[in-house]
Amino acid sequence: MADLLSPSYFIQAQIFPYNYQDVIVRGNATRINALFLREYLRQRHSIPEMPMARSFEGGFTAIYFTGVARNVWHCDVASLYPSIMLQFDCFPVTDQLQIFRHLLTDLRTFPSRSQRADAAR
Amino acid sequence: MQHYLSATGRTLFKQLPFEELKRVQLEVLSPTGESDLADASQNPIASIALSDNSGWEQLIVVDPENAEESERDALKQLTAIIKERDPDVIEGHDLFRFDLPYLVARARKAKVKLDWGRSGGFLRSRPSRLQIAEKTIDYPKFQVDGRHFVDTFLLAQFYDVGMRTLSGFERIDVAQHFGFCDAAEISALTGKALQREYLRKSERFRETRFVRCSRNSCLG
Repeated sequence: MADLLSPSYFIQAQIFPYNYQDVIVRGNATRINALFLREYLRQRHSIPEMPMARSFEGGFTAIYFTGVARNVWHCDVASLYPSIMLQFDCFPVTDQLQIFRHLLTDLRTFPSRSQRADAAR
Repeated sequence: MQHYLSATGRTLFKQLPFEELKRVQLEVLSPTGESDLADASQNPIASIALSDNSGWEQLIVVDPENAEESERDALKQLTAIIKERDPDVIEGHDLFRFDLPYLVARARKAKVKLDWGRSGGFLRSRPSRLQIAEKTIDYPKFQVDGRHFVDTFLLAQFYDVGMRTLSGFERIDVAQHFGFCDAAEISALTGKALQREYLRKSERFRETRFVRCSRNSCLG
């Protein structure tokens, strides 16, 4: 069973600053936060202060078209949220080194780079 | 560990293919196949099944007629095997909530040291809690120097957050889901029947243990 279920965590242990055992039980946000922390330490920059907690409105949803869409050439909603965040500069203001933006850009282009590399093999 | 990795930028197992990771699988069984730790810990271990990703398998059976001494020997043998095979990872199903605390409880009673660490350190644990989707799982988090524990019970929980297709999280549920065994193979010998065969020291007990380990908990 571990043959099937554990390889993705093993790969993550090669990326995140956690040991293999811990990377399994850490949440997504904790793992990503560790990447930021590592980069701030590497650049010898102070760690940004936590922003004050505040309330905010829920998500905005809009429908611009209803019915059956015909003659669709291509429909791709992969990486939708990262794309929106990159397009509209939705990044933490306290991230002075802009690490969030760089990591998200890398992450969004990773699948297409990976596909190209596979195709070239 | 995390501070060191964050400060240096190093990560573990860099460039190492998963296939080259040294993984040992472990399953401990009580005489009745009891999965409740409090009940199981009252009785000596019946057997310890081990395998690894090279195809090696070993079954350590405790002699029911000389349980005290035989269990002590089994625990010492287990520690010797772990030191000799020197795995990076020790895997098992419900390792944190059953196998490891059961071993620790019995080792304490038998006054046997479980010094499995690469630098000779002992197994240690602390209470931990994991939130997986709508579930909260309390478990003792075990650690030992230089090795990692991977519990397929927890991996199955994470797997099912996205899939929602598992009928249960017992070893047999997960093994069946992935097509490693059919129900008859495993359920043929459980509970009182298993205990009877164990006490008779029958070959059937050994065979069943190998089926449980190789088809089920371990390599799959």
